[in-house]
Amino acid sequence: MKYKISHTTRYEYESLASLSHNELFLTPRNTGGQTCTSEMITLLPLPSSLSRRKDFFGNRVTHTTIDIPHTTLEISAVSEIFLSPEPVMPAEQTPAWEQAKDRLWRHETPEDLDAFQFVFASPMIPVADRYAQWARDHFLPGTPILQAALGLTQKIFTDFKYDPQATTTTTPVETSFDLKRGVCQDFAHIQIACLRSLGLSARYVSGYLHTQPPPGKQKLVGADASHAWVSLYIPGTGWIDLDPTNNVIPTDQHLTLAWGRDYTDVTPVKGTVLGGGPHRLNVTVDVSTF
Amino acid sequence: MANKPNEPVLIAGAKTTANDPIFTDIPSVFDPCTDMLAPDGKIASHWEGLIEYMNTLGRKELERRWQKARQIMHEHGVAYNIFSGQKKMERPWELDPIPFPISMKTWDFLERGIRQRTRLLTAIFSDIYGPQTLIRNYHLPPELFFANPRFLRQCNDLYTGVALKLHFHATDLCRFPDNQWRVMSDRTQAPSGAGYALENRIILSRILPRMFHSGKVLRLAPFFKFLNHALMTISGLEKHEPFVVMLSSGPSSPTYFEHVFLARYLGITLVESSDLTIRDDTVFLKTLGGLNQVDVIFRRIEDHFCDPLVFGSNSLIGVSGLVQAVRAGNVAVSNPLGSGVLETPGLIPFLPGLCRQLLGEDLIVQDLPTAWCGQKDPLNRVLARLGDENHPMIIASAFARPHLPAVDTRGLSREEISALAKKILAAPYAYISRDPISPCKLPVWEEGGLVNSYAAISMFSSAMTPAGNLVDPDMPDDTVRVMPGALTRISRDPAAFLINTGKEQGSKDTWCFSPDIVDHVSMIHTFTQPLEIHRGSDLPSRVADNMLWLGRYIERTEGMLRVVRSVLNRINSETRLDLIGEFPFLLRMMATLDIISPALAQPDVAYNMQIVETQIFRAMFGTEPVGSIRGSLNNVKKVATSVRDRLSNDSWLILGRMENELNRFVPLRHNQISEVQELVDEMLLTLSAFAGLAQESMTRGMGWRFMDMGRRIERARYMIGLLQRLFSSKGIPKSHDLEVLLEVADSTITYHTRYRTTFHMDPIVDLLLLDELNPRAVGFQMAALFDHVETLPRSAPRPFRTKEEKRVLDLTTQLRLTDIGDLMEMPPDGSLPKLSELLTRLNTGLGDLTDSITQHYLSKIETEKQLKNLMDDPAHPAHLF
Repeated sequence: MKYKISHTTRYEYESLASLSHNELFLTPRNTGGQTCTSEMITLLPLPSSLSRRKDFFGNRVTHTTIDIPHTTLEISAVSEIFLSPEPVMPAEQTPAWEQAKDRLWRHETPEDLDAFQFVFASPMIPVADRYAQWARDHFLPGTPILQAALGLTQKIFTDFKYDPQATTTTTPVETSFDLKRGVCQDFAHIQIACLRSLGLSARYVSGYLHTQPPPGKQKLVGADASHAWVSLYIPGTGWIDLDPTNNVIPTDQHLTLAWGRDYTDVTPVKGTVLGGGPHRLNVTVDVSTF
Repeated sequence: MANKPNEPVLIAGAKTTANDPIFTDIPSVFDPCTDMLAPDGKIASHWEGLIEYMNTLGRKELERRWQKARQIMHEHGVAYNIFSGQKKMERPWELDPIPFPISMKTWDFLERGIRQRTRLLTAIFSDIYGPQTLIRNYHLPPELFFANPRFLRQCNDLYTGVALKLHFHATDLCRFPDNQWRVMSDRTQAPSGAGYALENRIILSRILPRMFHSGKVLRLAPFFKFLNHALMTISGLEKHEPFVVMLSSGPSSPTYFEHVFLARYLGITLVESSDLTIRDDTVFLKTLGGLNQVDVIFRRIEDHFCDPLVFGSNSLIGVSGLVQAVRAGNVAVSNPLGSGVLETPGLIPFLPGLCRQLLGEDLIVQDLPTAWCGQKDPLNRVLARLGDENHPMIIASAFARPHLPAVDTRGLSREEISALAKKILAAPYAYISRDPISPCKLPVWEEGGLVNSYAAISMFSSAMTPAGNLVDPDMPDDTVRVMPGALTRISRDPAAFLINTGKEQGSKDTWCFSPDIVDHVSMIHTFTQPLEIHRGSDLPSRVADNMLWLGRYIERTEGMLRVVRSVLNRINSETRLDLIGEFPFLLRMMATLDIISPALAQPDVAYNMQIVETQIFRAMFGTEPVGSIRGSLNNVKKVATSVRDRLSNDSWLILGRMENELNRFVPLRHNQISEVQELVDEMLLTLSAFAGLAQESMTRGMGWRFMDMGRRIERARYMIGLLQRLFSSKGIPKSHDLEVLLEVADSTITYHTRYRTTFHMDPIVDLLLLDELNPRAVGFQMAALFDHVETLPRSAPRPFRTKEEKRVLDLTTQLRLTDIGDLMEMPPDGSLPKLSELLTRLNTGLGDLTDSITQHYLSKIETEKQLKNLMDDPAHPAHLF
């Protein structure tokens, strides 16, 4: 399946902004099942400097500086992706979660060692007994790890209400967990907090979701949005994605941008600006197949 | 400061012990591990001179000198503590007069140990932010980094091909009764304390000068000289004279005093984040003359505050884009970003192994025994001992996170113990445990005698990157230097050294000895090539702005004090208020300056003595930012603090003295208004001392110019305001009103020497408005402003005059072309239309002039903010199928 993504972020300032630095995680990475065949990031006004590098987690980051006075800033990323979903191992065939955990904590292979860094608390995700306890009814002794994790995904999907008004990007996990409300970012953070508190390795995936228009209607441009989900590490098998917002294992509709420990590692558009006064933000995302 | 006649003369063999010696009964009074006694029972050589000297002084004399020292420190102390309203900002610095001498043998051991430690930490640093072989080969548990908030993944690719060095490393140690020195902690980001050590030495040498005359106490200056070299050569940038700045978080930092002190001592420009800007991945200092490229940043702020964009710290004390500029190789930061990871206490148990592994050496100075709970055996031991009263422990973060303070298990309730156990079990790798310590005690001077108090020392070291273009025959290549001295900290409660209890009592100067007489070292370097001569300065715009306001606020304060003084002169006279003809005019002047409300300037109220006095008290001691002397002085201090490093020590002391004068004043009864008059006189004198210093000892650089411009602008507006007030009512002003105007304007004597007559309107207006020779006249201020504006830097020579030049030229010309007779033409209605029109024009013109100076030179001071992130948008759409 081939996808085209266009993601536009537009800032409008009330007064003149003189200098703006941005860090962009807008270039899709290549993964087992995903190949990014073309990508382009453009900024208006034109940046005075633009550089790219790979970050610690292998994501492609773009740094830009705009040093001419401006009242609007438009960042647009257009990319094409070829997606060939990999088959998912049947959940009941995965190892018992305690076994997986023990192996992870011995981290004897380079892969296990690399995954081990996603076991700990990170800037936005705490590790605490309460999350482990809440997840415990699916992580019974001997339960295959993927089966248990799917149970947890389902539990978040059922117990939490999708409510964009309830949280913001900076809402702590403690709060959204108590509220039982939030958006994809909150649900991903909560599931990761549960998995890590059980001693397992889980990372945060930032990306897009391809949505289908309601039957008989034409799809609206810009109706899509950026999305976030979870990836769980199973020693010996590798990483398996889980989407608690939609209670699915992502296959051919989820497009990966970047991954890290939590949202702070892979915020799609980050920036600081000098001057500018109050600003308005408008984001449009469009994902289409071709 | 020292009282010379009392200075004991030390002649070899001739001991003149005072009748109240300080050190007596040494074997029974002092802690044996002070090393005060040699094995043969005699006084050890490194204590000998000190004890002998102290004993010739005697208790009384030491106490007398110590009081003097406290006075010096208090004067400095006032200076370091600006926001006197906030207790926590006060500098808790106390110096003990008894130094801590370290024997040559001990020093040799410590110096080797610290040198090795700096090398070891540097080697660990290079690996962690490089190939990470220590983790991959299981020499270090990965938890110590993966779970560590001080391990900054954003720095992982910053240092490829760079010879990383810790340019400034602090090690905190204690000596223990078993005669072992053990390290408690390392500080590797922006350690404080070296500046305080330096200051301790300076104060001690002022009050006890002869103690240093033996010449064998090692000086601290060579270390700072080395540090300066290290900073200059840091980046590998092949620059003849790299531009080094010290990045401070500003006056709100608890150690701001040290930032100012060190920046001055090292000769480095002190900047705050708003002074810097990043263009094309290059760091620039915003100055009046434009942008100056910065090569090296000696930072005094922690890693994660350095770049708000990358570390998301939401703080305003860092510089956005700094990490990228470092990555691009255009600037070097010291200590390198990410070095905070070396402060990880969890590393301690692994240091002996790492030292053998990385350096092929045994660790010279051991650490305090530390159990890292990330390992099974230590964890089980800690859990087993939790709650056991016979085995108290200090439990602390393995990552030294400030929000996870260390706890002493003594004094915890049963519930607290079990909560702690639960927390440890949930993330054992995040905790360390140590036994409570009981280190050696040192003699401390207290209430005229010696007591024993626990002591810890902070040692400082610096590693230099080899190469560079500085030549000094004494400077060995690629080495680590250790400051020959230390900051000795003392505390009655030894837990203060492990847990930040805020109970540390103070500090001591620390002596190391040289077998030979020590040479004097100055801070001026030897360079291979001749230096460019710098004249004038690259003044940061922020500093210029603050200097302008400093000038304005000082002048404003003075103006208010002058009117208040004239009012007090009359209140304290024998004449009844209602018989003083000029009193209503004085009250109107006070109203003009917002000292009293206009309603009180009405004649019927004014004669009420009670109300006038109440108003005067409010004006003096109220805290309103406008219209009160104290408020106005607060403004002065606030701006003065942010340009602390630009003011001479004397100017600073004067400002502190003024605040003291005001604060010391306690009106006992309400009618002690005569004492207020003395206070006002004193303050006016102090202010003129400040003005005199500015005139005589400030370099005529841009800083001085901006301060003087502020003063001129304010004084001109003050005078215009007084003249407007005088002529606000129609008709020829009364003679006594003219007289008091001259008094407030400090021009009475000038008038009399010129005219020797009674008071007439025209010559007075001429003297106060048009005269360019009277330093109080508007004309004088304009001429001075004209001169200043002419010399302000421009980006390029232009054929046209700048906006502010045109304005000031216009105002000066208007005044110069004014004919006094013409100006004072009075139509039959008794008004003075031409004069009042000119005064209005001057007032508006001055406002415009200030605005255009601000726009042209000072508008670069903007603050940065974080862009709202994508997902902050409340209209975040749903993803439900």
